[in-house]
Amino acid sequence: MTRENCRIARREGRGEDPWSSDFFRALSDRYRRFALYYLLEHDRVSIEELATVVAGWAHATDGDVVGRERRDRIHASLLHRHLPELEAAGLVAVDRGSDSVSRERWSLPERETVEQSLEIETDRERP
Amino acid sequence: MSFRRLLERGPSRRVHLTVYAGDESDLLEGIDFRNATVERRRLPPDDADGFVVVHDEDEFVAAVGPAELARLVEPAVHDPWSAALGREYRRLYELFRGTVFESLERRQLLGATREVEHRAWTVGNGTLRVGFQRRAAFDDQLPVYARLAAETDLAVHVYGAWDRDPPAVDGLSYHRGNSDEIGSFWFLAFDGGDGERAGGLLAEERSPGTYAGFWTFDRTLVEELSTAAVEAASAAE
Repeated sequence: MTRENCRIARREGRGEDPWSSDFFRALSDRYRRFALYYLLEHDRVSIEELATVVAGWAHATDGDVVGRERRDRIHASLLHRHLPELEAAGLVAVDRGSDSVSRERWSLPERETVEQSLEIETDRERP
Repeated sequence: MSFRRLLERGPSRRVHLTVYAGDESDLLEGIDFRNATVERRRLPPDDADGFVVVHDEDEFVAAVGPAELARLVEPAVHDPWSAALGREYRRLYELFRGTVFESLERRQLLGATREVEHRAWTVGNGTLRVGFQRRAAFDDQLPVYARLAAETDLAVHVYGAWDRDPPAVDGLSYHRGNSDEIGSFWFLAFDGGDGERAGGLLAEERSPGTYAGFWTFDRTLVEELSTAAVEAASAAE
């Protein structure tokens, strides 16, 4: 079964509920949200670049300088924890051969929710 | 190698900067780099402030936000012995060391100058060479160098193309030179003393108040700056 069909099957199993709890669990972590926001614009990125973007976005924007160590820790947590969660929610596909991640086709409610979250989260952080 | 040649050649660092920001952002715009490539990648939304990622060739160095970058553009200039010149100040100058800026303002160079002088002050020994394009600029800074000379074991050598030496100050040696090299460049070279914290700077005023130049913490390049000063001064004597 393809990943897409799994998601559709899960939804149909719950009687046309547009939401899965996997989706909200995916959104519940800040690093995962920043990853999704970046993937809104760039539908395929290297995991290394995604780690750099998440590190910069989450930490550099509020006045910190993010060094190599912290970026590498974020890279590891993306690889081992966050990307698998996003994959389980059907939002991304990880290509371990090329160390890259691409955005899966998001449903309209999913896309709108991520966009809404982006607006709220980046607005709140403005001084 | 002369200062002229050193500035033309520039340091060997190859920096790559990626600006992640919204379409409306002007982050890093208006800063003219010579040996750094700048790439822009879109971050949503349109008005995202963003951040800049610094790579040394392919190696990630750091990600830095607009507030930090603003401190490079508008540094708070402190005395070299000020506690305000701490880790954060140093970190920013470390990030952009060896990058040639084509149009720095005097205040921005002064910020870098202070970082080098702070190293000299902290180590407290070794040789500090400093050259001024204009006598008035040195007269302004004389109290700083007088204090560095008085309160440390630093050997402080001052270079300029003026007609008469400035007032004698204990610990300061003056060297007058020709105006092709000495007097045409603003430079510093601190050899690091026994603390191995070398630092240097080289800049040339291109138009009133606007300079092309770089700062460096590379020991070899600092030695080259030092040699250029000594050779230019001895050629004039």
